Amino acid sequence: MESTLQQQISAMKQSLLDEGFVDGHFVELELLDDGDNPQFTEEIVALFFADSAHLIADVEKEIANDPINYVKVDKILHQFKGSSSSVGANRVRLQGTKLRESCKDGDVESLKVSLKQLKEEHATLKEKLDTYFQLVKQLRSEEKTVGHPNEEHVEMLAENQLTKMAITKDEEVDVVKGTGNEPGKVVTEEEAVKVVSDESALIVAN
Amino acid sequence: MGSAAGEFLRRVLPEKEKAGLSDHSSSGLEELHVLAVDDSHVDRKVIERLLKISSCKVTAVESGTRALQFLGLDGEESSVGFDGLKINLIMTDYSMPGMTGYELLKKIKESKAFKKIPVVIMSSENILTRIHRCLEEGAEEFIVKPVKLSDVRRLRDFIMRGEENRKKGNNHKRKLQDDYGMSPPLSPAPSLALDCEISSLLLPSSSSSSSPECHPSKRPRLRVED
Repeated sequence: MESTLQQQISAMKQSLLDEGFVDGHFVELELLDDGDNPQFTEEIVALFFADSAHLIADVEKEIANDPINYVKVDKILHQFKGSSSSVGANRVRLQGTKLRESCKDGDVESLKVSLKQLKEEHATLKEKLDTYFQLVKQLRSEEKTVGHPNEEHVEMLAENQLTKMAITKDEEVDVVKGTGNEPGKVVTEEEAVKVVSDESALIVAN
Repeated sequence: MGSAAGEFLRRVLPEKEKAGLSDHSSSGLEELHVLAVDDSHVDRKVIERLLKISSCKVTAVESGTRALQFLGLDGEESSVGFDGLKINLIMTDYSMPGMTGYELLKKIKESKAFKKIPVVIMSSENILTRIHRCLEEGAEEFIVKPVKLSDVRRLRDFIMRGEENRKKGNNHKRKLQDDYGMSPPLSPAPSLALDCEISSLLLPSSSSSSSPECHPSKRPRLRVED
């Protein structure tokens, strides 16, 4: 039985990637969501938004000064670039770079416009990711109550698991749906379900 | 039971040369202890998580000064004996207020107690002269941020091989380049046939655009067929 929630989540993630709101590094972070901390990505993103809000406020304050201390602004924007890149906040990072570039022109008016755009990108991303993580949270709690993960989610988690194993073992992995007659290592649905229920059990236990 | 979810085939191809130590749990070694230094709260949390997921013990500090304090190199009378302190790897950000990662690297390499510890520099900026300077000063590797799970895994394996060699009484200091059969840094750009991971050692992002804004998504090769 297909879960529309599961479909919603996958579709939303794909669209976030396609539209450049997040990049591959966001996906990398999600691989770190694990048994003992299934919401690591959500937490680190929350940390990013808290931190970056301060940085943006600091820039705004500096720009209101006369004369503007461009060295200070550049330092703040350098930090901003670092943390946005670390969470895969692609559009936000690019806008931050634009703002940094426009500092070099010394045109205060265009600087203010650039900053305004940065705040908009920042707010938009926060809204989208808030929605995204709400859905993910819902799915997690759905699984807890139902006790039996739906197939689509099993597939997704099994693929994640294999991806993670590939990363940690530095292997090239072909994930294909087989008939069970192929040679090589096979992860059956039962095993995948077991992986998922083990993780769910850990979540419930917490 | 045939079902829509079906069965997944994980075909491992081709098996890479392992130095017999890819599985940490079978190595019989203790957990690696890594000291991570980064002034960014977000980056500290990420590197901490990456290392924990890779079965390493982590101490994360926010500055070079704190790092030296932790190592007992700050010139203060150390109240606690550091005999028990075993750090296997230091990972430090390059640009930090106060003491840069480069300055921290120098201090570590100047200290008798810690100069043998591998130091890895992380930086969001892909600047050749900076990379060169760090490697010249004895940095083991220069990683362009954002740091990925594959970077950490590769480092961990490298450190563990070094520890294993040390245990066996092999004092030959293995360089990461030797393991991969590569030439030293700043030689002509590696061919595209090299692993994505390896290209982060030499001339980061050289296999893609050299623009600092370019963040190639270096993911494991995973093909999903329906």
